[in-house]
Amino acid sequence: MKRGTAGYIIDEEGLAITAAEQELPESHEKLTMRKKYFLVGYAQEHNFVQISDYLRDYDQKSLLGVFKTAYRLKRGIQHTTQIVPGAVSLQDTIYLQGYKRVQQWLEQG
Amino acid sequence: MQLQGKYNPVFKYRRPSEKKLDTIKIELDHIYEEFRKTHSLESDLLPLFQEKREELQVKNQLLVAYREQDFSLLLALQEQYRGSFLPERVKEAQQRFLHPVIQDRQVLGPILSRKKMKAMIAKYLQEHGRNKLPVLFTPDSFARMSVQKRPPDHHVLRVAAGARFRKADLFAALAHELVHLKRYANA
Repeated sequence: MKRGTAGYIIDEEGLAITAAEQELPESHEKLTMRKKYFLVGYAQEHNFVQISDYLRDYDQKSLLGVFKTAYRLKRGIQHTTQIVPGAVSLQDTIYLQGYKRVQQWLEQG
Repeated sequence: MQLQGKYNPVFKYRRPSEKKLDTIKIELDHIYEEFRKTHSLESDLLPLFQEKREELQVKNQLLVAYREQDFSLLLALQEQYRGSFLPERVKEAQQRFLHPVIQDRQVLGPILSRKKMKAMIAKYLQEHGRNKLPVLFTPDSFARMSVQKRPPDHHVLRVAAGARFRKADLFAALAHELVHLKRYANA
């Protein structure tokens, strides 16, 4: 329990993003969590090389940045040629989930 | 641009042995039984422990699924642990980030030098009563910024050595990490 109650991490990330948002100008929308969610969906249908190509094309990341992001999406998978929904880490979906949950709480007062 | 080497890497992971995972499972059941004996069914803490035990069991099963590379089980268990993956949310997310109103990043302030970043981080932490938190610039960080626990009970703020921050962006990242730090402290 010292490490948090069950499912705490989703709420915690939602609170953290909400806190971060308050430091940003109102005109600037935080898109990273949406990009992460989209990339998880993309990684379910593509292998490591295809993900890397996409990141290079769209994000113009450095090679190290591309590798880190692709690895994060395929973390825990041995053969990264696998293209099935389970051959991807869902870790990066928690940010958008948590954010939506916190926004809902705030809207409901 | 296409990468020249069409290389899908093969990773090797060190996983706990089957025996170790079985031992953890038995231990979890035992802890829960012990707790149930000492707390009445009306206790507010019981559902929290029940949920936590279930979560730990899912994590344990996840390790087995990773070891076996059982992808259908991995998907099911990850959804139990991290929440359902919603394809319709992918479309919504894609629409928002692929076609955003062009964001003028200048509103976040100029890109900061390392020296400037260090000074601003120190000031921010001081203003938030966290001036004793060590800050470590490291090349081996997967995240731009993160709080990491160091045994026995210390924390360190890790900043990716190559990460570029603008002023508001830096404060946003710090605000984000301080939420995690507060939770660690509360625990």
